[in-house]
Amino acid sequence: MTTSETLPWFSGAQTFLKSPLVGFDRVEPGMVVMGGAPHDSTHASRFGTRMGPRGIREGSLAFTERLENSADGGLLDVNTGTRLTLPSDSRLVDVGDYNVYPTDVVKSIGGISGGVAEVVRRGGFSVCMGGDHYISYPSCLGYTRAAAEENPNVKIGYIHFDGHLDYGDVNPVWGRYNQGSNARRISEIDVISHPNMAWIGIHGWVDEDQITLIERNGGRVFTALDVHEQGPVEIARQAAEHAADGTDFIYLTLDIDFIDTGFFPATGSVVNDAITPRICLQMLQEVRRYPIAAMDIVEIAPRIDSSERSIMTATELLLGIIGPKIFDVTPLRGG
Amino acid sequence: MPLRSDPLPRTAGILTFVRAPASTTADLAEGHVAVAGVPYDMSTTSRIGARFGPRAYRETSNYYAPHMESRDSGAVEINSRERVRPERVRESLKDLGDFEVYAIEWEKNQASLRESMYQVARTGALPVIMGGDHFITFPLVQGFKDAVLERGGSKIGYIQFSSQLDLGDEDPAWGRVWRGATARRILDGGMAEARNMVWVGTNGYIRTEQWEMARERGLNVFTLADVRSQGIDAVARQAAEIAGDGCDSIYLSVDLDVLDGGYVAGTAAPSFDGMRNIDLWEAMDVLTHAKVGALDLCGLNPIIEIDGLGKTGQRFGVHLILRFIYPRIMGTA
Repeated sequence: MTTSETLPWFSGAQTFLKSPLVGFDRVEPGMVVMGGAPHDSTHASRFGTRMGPRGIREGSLAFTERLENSADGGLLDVNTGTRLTLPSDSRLVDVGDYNVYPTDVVKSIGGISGGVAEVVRRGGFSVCMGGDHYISYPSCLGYTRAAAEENPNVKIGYIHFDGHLDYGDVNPVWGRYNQGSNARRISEIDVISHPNMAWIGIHGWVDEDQITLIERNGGRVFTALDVHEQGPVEIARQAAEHAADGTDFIYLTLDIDFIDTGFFPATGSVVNDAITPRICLQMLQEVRRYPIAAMDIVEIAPRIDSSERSIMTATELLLGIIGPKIFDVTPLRGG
Repeated sequence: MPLRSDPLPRTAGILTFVRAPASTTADLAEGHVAVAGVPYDMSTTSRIGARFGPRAYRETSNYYAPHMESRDSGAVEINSRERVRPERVRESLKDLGDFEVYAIEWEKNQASLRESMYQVARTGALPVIMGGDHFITFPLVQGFKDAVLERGGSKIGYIQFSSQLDLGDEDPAWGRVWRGATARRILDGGMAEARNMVWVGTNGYIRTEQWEMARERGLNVFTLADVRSQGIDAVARQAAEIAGDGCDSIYLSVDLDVLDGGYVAGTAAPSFDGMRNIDLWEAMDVLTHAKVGALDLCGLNPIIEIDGLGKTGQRFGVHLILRFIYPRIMGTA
């Protein structure tokens, strides 16, 4: 033991929320397992998401200060009136980064999917931190492979938060594997049920072939305008119902670029759609009521945003899904 | 074998607007959309940098290059499901490069912008001008009016989206050439009648004498509060009706500072509690169906938000232009 008192939040090892850095052998059922996939050579515009896992971890540190410095080790969620406290036996661990090979995209599939599958086999809830959106495919591949080992007949739904469909097949420049084909590759995985795929937050112009094929295969697409017109909770509910209908589990991908870039500038593919982080959080808090079994968070390029507000916001968005899994959640004393 | 047969990555290639062919006024015809830049910002009283606006728009516009390139299918707008037909975009969209600007000599600059705008508008193409600070609108309106008169018209209306009225006259430091006098020069110059001049989205603090002048002269001002209470769709429709009443054409000027600084902070004067970004787009959806004959987009200062942050305004502006011009290009306006 080198230190006996709480360190300032910006010191110490930078794991996600200062969780224990562990090897796969320490992953136990029920744990939330953070793993990084710092891969961005599959990104079509502004590089920088290779720094995403590091950025997300760094951005999470400020939150730990609030946790550690509260007198009774708890935080109050003022919106829900509930208390969050970290349990004595941490249910959150960080396995570091998975193997990536910047110039060998196919080899990276093995590195990332192999790591995620190992986490899932041991009962962990995998949160794969990108990286550009390409890494969503190997992350989902790893999850589905492990899920199918346990139950070959497993049927998995899919929720895709994004400003873009990412349903391209073969791009003339980028080939089969890139940040615009991840959902297409995922749709081709055996145990993914295409009629249970849902997209939320799509915006602007999309490729007509992609939207036609998605809908022909039973997928549902909710636009950013749908979210404004019908409300975030209602749209999240409809999408989650679609993904959960007749399936065992749901894989969730969160491409933060669907948040208006004025509020979340640290991303390569800019979207202006007036979707605020708060709207995003409301939707995540709704979909977490459904059987989400693994997820990824992608497209955070920390260096694009010198204000660092994006990486700090990312933590709160992640807590929208994993908060109840890693905290003890109790009603405020005295109601 | 051609030099290349595949589309380029979006980070490669010569920067024209959406990869439209680099053109001159000799290439223009009725129904074309002619994009041009005015990299001038010497009349801003605040932070210099809007001169980089045209270059920034062109850079970010390459994201939409697939709209110009041949594919099995084109793009569709996700909400309306309206098609972008690449062959129509290729045929109609032209990038003229930048108008000649003279940073220090305003008279020469004014004459150049007026003449350039006239040369474009007289062809019957739709001029879409990327600024530049907002004062460039004054000579552009002059040149546009010249062309309307030549083409047999007599009157134009004027719509301005801006947080300010821009009805100032002389500024103690800047004299008569400053961005706060844009609409005043247009009004005093008789380029549009007061009853055909419309402001949308005015917000924040306005100089009292300008507010009173708007009242006295019968200018039409829809504040941000009006937009919120009536809805942008209703306000844009009224604006088109008022500005177009008895006129042959409408000049539409958009100053990005009308938006809330949270959406686009890279302007000379960011608004706080300004307009919501998607409302400004919706206004374009309405106005493209009105008799708008020229559009300018001013106020973006891409160097304020260093590195990537500035892209927020660039992407927003390019999307705004496309929302306006696509119904014209596709023939649905």
